[in-house]
Amino acid sequence: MILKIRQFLVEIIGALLLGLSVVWLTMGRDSSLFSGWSIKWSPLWLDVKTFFLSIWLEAIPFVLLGVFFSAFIQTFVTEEQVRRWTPKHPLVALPFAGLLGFLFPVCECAIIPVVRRLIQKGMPLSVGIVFLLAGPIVNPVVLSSTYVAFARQPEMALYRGVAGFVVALIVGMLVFLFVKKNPIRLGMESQINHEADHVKTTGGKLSSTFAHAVDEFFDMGKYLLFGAFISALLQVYISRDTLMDIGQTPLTSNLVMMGMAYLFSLCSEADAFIAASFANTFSSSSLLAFLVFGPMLDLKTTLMLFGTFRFGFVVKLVVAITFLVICVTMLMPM
Amino acid sequence: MDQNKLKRHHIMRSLILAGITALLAYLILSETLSHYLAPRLHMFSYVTLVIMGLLTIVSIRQIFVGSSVYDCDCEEQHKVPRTPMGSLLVYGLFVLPIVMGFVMPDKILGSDVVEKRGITLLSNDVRKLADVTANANANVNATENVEQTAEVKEDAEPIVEPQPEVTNQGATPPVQATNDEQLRQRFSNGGFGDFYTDIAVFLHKQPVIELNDKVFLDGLTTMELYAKEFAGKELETMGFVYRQPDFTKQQFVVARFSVTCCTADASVYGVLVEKEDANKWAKDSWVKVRGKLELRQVDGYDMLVLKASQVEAVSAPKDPYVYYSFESVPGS
Repeated sequence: MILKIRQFLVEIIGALLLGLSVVWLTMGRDSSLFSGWSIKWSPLWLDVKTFFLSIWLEAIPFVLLGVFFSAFIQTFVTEEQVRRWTPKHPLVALPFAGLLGFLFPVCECAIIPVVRRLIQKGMPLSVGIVFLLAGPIVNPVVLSSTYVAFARQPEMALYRGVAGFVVALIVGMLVFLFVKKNPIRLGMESQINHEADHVKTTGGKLSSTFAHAVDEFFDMGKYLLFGAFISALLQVYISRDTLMDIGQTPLTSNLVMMGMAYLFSLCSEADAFIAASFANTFSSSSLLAFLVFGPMLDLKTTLMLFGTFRFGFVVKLVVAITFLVICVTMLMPM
Repeated sequence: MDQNKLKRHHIMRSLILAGITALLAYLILSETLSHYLAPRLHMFSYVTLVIMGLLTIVSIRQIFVGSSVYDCDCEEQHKVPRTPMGSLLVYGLFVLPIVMGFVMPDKILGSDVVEKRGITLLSNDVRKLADVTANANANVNATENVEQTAEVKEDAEPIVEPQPEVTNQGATPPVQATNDEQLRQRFSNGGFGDFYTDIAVFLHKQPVIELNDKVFLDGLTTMELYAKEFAGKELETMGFVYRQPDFTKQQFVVARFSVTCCTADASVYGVLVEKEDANKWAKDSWVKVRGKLELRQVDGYDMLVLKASQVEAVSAPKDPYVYYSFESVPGS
């Protein structure tokens, strides 16, 4: 008994120590360890805090939305329903998934738990992947914000929609043709059956929905937090000019813009405004690469994908998306 | 996995959820939420606060009735970290924002971030800025020369009337002979859409253009589009002081951060200000500037520079960021 209490204390103290060490690290070098609350913070670290909390606070509502939407599907939508609603023939089903964003306008934070749940409920993997990639781009909210941000180049919204749709479709095709093994991470399969058992045994649908929401909040939340923190650090310590100096030829400028989209981890609703602020410095084609790549893949969503799918599958997915986005945006007549 | 270990995880989670709820409530009550999020996202945070409160209650309930809800031999599959190191890492990650939010003081973004991101100046991008500065350094009379160019340019436009020189800054600005209709006519041939035409008319009508928080971004964009028409107008605005290493002693930028969703997408906009004693104002301090817009030609680009007559120090506004409105012209 005493041993257990001690273990418990160790964990609490450990968490506190970690917090304190962060506090200590973030202090200016010239201040003493315990100078009370009037610590002289290094201004750069205060900026890290601002970015970190900001990205996190922005994403939480949408992650929660995704979590609850997924819990809702889990509790109320049966597997037969998912199978019935999904078109049978892949040539119909894949474009259908690409346009699903018009029905469910979710951004990239919310879509991963939803797609994971839909795949577990029997949606074919290729269809789920197309929805995962196209959903955060081909939807009315994102396209209208792009239209607004590019006031002088309104056709950018159209290009963005088309390019996102095409890339998602091709990746879906590749998945349909080449991925035969279920890439959902080990344990997820049994977990879903197991969750269904809970619903049956406890009967309380609402309380089980909430209990699972807590689980999933911590599950997705850790990837989100880690991604947001790295992104905040990079934004404070890496200058945009450094990146711009690399990106001078057509290929490298596309790559640099994609790299920025990946690191910044912006919400797909807002990234168009950032892209527009680069309009003077970068070619339209590389801006398009930024707009298409960012919602499909960024630091925080990659971590969330690793939490959902097998390692090898995520790596292949990342390679395929990167390659296709470069090709499609370079070939886009604009 | 034994029940006690599971219970500890539930306690830890409840503490974290309670901490997040408290942090959100603190940010909302102290009205510092706008340092992190644009106003249009505040509604989501209020909803999040309620949901986090509910999740906290659910999690606390799990501490006590957890064993009955999960009364089966499958705890392994519930996603709690398995090793002490794992829990330390995961929960530390969740504790981090809570600690940061409560312990670290608030700081609004300033020059350090501008240096990393670059700035969008009136009618130009940052790369051209170096040329402007170089011009100013090389030629003391540059200002006058450029002014002349500007006037020639204006003469070339048939409908544009040249602005008379105003020597006494306190005097009332020249009365506009044009009425709204003529102004509209003048601003509608740029092909930039009704929205910017509306703003341009709205701004140009004012004797002293007041570039306040509401119209800052749209106003800047408009003046960028119609740089020639706005040359010679008087302007008053507010922002923080930003300098680049290559600036002269007479120059600084009065800048604002624009935020669309969160500060990760913040970008910087500003007006280049010139005044004799410009180096009096420290970087990142907030100032109110009033002066006259002047057109410069740089590499074939038109650029507006504010020749300040009046600069006064002010305190930072409660909401330090500016936002695009895109909906309507304020006050029209």
